[in-house]
Amino acid sequence: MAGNGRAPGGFRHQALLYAGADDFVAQTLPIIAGAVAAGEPVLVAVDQTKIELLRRRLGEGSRAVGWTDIRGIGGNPARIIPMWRQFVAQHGDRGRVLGFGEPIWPGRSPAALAEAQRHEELLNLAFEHAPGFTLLCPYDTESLDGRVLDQTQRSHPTLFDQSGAHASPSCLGLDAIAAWSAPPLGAPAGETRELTLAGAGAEAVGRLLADPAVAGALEGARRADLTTAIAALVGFMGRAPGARPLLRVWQDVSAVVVEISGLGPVRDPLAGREWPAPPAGPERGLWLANQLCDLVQLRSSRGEAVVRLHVSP
Amino acid sequence: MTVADRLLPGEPFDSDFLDDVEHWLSVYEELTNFVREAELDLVRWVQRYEQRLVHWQRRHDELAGAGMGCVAFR
Repeated sequence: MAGNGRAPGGFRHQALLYAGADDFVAQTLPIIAGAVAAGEPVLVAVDQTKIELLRRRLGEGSRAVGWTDIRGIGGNPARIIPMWRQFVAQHGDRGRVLGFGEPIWPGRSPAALAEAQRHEELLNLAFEHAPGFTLLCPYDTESLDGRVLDQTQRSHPTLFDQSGAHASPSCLGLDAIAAWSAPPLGAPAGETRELTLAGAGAEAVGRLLADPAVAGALEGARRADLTTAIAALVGFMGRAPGARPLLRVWQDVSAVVVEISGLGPVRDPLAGREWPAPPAGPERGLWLANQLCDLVQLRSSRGEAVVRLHVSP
Repeated sequence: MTVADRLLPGEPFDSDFLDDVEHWLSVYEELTNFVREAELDLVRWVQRYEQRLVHWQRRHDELAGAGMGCVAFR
């Protein structure tokens, strides 16, 4: 176990390594069918193609399973833990509950991949006290980069493949996950525009985003979502002592990106991933932003927090 | 789909999975409450959130009340 301290032990969080679609079905179908036969709640969050493969093979039994397209809810990985929280809260009193979640797939942007890998680690913290919850995370060894596959050992105590179960030699302990220091955010990919948020309201943010040179890629509804997310973050996270919150915006390859710096620090590594949403505090601001944006990146130090919001056209 | 109908990321408009429906119901309750409380100048878009809230309330009533749709976990 890497990192001293508590071991992930409350719930079973396991990587399931498979090689292509046929192997995926071969490995997962018996587990799902067994759980259905035992009357256990099952939620499968994988892509739509795999959902259809499994549904066809399960036949009538598929009606006893919950299905969610992970490419939707998991586009922003911070939305996945609330989904599992809801599932465990509503069905965890029935003994074992079983989930399949595939948050990492080929083609994810570097930023989304980093957040998805962080999500995998945070699952161990989020469900530390959910001993009846078994979560299997499929990883396609045929299409994923070897470095991505290596990372599964940091976040999963156990790895499964065709040869059976193997204990991870390098899974992070819970204290190490909680104390994690994220890699710094990269430099903006395009020309930036700035707005000092001290004294500037949502109207000023809205005017800035309405400038075609700033966020012209976004239609009105998505600009409004972005404005709402910014207002939620500034309103609920507050400002860091002595800081002047600053907004920077630029257009990335596939999204408009807004970065807000100078926000109050966030100490809870699971902030923004609660379900139901908390009534106040930085956690509520982050939760709202997570629902509105395609990707949210949080970096917090002792002094201040920086948040990046990605919104795609 | 009109601009007013623009979905949020990952929003499964036609979902028949009750957990999904309850999730999105709570999302739009939170959004409408926040925008109203914060008195943001986003009246046009509040209506969009409110319309979507009504959609998910209706969907919830269909699935939970009439026993329609996905039978998962029942």
